[in-house]
Amino acid sequence: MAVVGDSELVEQATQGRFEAFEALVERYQHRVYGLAKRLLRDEHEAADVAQETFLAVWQHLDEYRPPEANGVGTDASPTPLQAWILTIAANASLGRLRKRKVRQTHEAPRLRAEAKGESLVEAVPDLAPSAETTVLTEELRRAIESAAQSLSAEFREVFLLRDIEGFSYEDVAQTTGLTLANVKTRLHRARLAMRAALVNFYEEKVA
Amino acid sequence: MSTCQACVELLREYLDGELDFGTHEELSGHLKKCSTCDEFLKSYSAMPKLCREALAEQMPQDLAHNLRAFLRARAQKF
Repeated sequence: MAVVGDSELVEQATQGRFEAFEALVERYQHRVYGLAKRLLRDEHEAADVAQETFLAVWQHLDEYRPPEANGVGTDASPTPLQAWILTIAANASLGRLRKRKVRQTHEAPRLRAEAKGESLVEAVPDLAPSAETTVLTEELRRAIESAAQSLSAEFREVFLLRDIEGFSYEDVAQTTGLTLANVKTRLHRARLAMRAALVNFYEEKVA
Repeated sequence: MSTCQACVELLREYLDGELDFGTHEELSGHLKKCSTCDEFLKSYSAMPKLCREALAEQMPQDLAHNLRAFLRARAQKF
């Protein structure tokens, strides 16, 4: 059965067909919820963000102007509509984060992303025999979750938006208010920190 | 590329095609000769996909149901 493209659903939804809008919600609800939960680390707040996001989408759908929106997208490269929806969700999530002002002193020690000097070279040992074909075990999944949660907020936001949500560098910069250069620097540091955490994971398994 | 340290610092720019021709060639040459850095590059570039899979979330059914009910109720007001 052919998959109805985003642009067709948008057109039908803007003409008042709520079922078409619901089809869009169903298509992107997991991505929106996942983005919010990863950023906020709270499933209730993530559900609230999903509500806010799709309500805003419903209210402003007629303002949406797709460059070339007719696909269903992939995890790595979102369709224009998906990118638009995820940007709304990211803004809502980051807005909540900014309001929290949570002191982080009681939290687990942060991964140090400043992987410079000798520590970088120490992290050079391979992550796995062949990282490209690494099988995602439940244990590894938990290690990655833990590593991502341990990134400091300034690195985590950039890492999640770029590497997990597939935002362009420009969109990450716009959403976070950072300069493009800062986004790229933070992303590299975050990746190095994530990689170092996974190297530790494998080393502990071997030990 | 004088050191592995310098090589690692440039990996993102290398993968994103942001390096000038000379630096790109120098780094490529280093990666061909240095298996440690080559392996580092492989794991570094494999990281996003692995993390995307690991961090994928499904919205729980009850929350998805609540979302649908919320949107239906709000949409009727417009």
